[in-house]
Amino acid sequence: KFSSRPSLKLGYNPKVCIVGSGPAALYTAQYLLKNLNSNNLSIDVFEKLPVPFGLVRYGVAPDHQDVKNVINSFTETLKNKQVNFFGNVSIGTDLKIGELLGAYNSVVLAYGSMGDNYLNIPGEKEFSNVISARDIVSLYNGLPNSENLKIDLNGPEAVIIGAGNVAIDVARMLVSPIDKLAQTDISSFALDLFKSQNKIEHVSIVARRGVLNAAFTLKELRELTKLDSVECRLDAENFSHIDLENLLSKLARPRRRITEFLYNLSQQSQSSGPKKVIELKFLKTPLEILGNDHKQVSGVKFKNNKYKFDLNSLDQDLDSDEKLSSIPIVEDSEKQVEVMSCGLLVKSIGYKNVSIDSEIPFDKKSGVVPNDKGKVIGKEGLYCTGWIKRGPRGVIVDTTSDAYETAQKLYADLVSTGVDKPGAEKIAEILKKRNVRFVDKEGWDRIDQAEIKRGKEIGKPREKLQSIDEMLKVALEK
Amino acid sequence: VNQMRFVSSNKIINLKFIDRNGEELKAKAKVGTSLLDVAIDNNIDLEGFGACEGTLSCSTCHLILKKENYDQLKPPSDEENDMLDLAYGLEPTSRLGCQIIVEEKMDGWVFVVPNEVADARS
Ligand SMILES: Cc1cc2nc3c(=O)[nH]c(=O)nc-3n(C[C@H](O)[C@H](O)[C@H](O)COP(=O)(O)OP(=O)(O)OC[C@H]3O[C@@H](n4cnc5c(N)ncnc54)[C@H](O)[C@@H]3O)c2cc1C
Ligand code: FES
Repeated sequence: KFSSRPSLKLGYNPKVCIVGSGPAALYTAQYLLKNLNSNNLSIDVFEKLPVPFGLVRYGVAPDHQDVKNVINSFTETLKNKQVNFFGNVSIGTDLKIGELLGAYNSVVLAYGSMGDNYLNIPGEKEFSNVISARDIVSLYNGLPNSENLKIDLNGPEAVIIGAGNVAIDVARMLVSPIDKLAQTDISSFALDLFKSQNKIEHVSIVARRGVLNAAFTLKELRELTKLDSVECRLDAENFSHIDLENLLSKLARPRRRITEFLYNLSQQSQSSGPKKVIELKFLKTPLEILGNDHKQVSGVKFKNNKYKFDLNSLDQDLDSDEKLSSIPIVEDSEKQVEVMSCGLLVKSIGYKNVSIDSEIPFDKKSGVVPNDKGKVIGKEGLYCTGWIKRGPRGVIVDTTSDAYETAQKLYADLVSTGVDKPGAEKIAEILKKRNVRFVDKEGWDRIDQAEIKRGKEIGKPREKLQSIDEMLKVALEK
Repeated sequence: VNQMRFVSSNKIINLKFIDRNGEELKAKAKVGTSLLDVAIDNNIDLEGFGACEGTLSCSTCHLILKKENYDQLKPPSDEENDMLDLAYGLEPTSRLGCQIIVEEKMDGWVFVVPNEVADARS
């Protein structure tokens, strides 16, 4: 026996529910199961879609199956007999937060970031083929209804505005060899589309701020530079006024390593081979989206920026990304406004949190549910975790520690006081009355098996069911 | 070479993990396996540990080594360093457990799981 912490025995049977089934939800569940295992704790997971795992299934790129391995441990958690799954139940619509708070000792919000940001510049809504990264990500990951997206991949140029990991994912997917993608769990719809019409050869990833503020991680960038059929470019001018040694000595390790890598990339000579190109461009703010006679996007007009301070004269340590992002950026008036031509424009400027129920305290300004270490301020019994708690930033590992923080708060409250609540029994009754058909974990298991079987037949790890109807059919017919 | 590996991988040594709560956990480690395998084989419950199953895609297997032990290992690859950049509580002697292969010389080594979240109960 290795785990020496004794599980506390409570005087009642705590009932917890979680809204959402992404990493934040399942790490919270894992923590609670471990620390309250000798009690009749039950955890009910409510998910809007018939299937669990949130952005691990519908966000993480299909060619990153390694990252998706985390699904195995999440599946184990869902299979725990103390956990119930209610798929195809949208909180705020099918069930109200007030109803959950009445039926459970604690309610954990883990519903992620369902909204989009906008550029708010002329042409954004006027021209076709101006698409949010979320829509392309959903398309290649087979999110239900994503197949309705109108998109033209005839290229040959694409511009992606925003320079985070999602931008890199999208760029990589757009230029990856089709036979490589065919071995992933990419949606068949996207695979056919890429096969039949993808002529994109040049992708520009454009950031408003400079090389020191790149939002992507080195892992994703390094991967781009290692693709056989793609050349990754960065203009040497990005470092021309910078005393690199001096600057690097002021940066914290992750930023130092990525800055060094970017510098080396900027020093590489360009080949003129048959490769596709991904170009990183910094210090450019989009001003206007331009279109052609067919009302399709034809280019983007940018103004150029510069760091307001001489980076070499900054004497303090630039050891955090907050400090780096506080360096002011101003327009570089010596440079002219420029137009980048493109047949596809992807906006990768971040996901946004929204409120799903008016009863949830929500701070529009900061875009998060106000909380103290995961305990929602102003609503007893309510907790939050993941992107809805922190904002739509960071990778899965950030969700781990964040979920534990929330789970610890919740645990302490469950231990200090509590009475028996009706839980799932009561909720199932309401759902029945409202004719909401939900997918339980056996239903999810049937979908899972069907997808893996279909994938096997065509050499993919999984062939996702594309429509909700199809999912419900597989899940609910005995 | 294969035979050598087979012979050596039957060898078992003793290691220790210090978990997030500061508790010491003893583990038997098969030479030739990774520290991630060791944690799993010993049922060591390190929350969230090994999310990507050793494929260098998550950094949840982050461990901190003693300086004198760290110095005895081959330095991490670029890819391991890229993932370490995203790890919480990074120390100069941090490594990813899935990338450390158990060797006989590690008998008695101690690996600390970084404690990035304060425990509400302690
Ligand atoms: C495109 C993309 C690629 C990424 N790639 C990586 C990667 O390679 N590696 C990595 O480590 N991280 C990656 N991330 C980050 C990672 O996905 C997030 O950190 C993580 O998923 C956040 O977890 P979450 O549980 O807060 O939210 P989510 O994963 O979004 O889960 C929220 C869940 O709540 C459900 N929900 C929403 N509204 C309701 C409602 N009203 N009722 C019930 N349920 C609801 C949603 O359907 C969803 O299942 C990526 C993110 C994106 C956007
Ligand atoms: S288990 Fe994911 S990086 Fe080691």
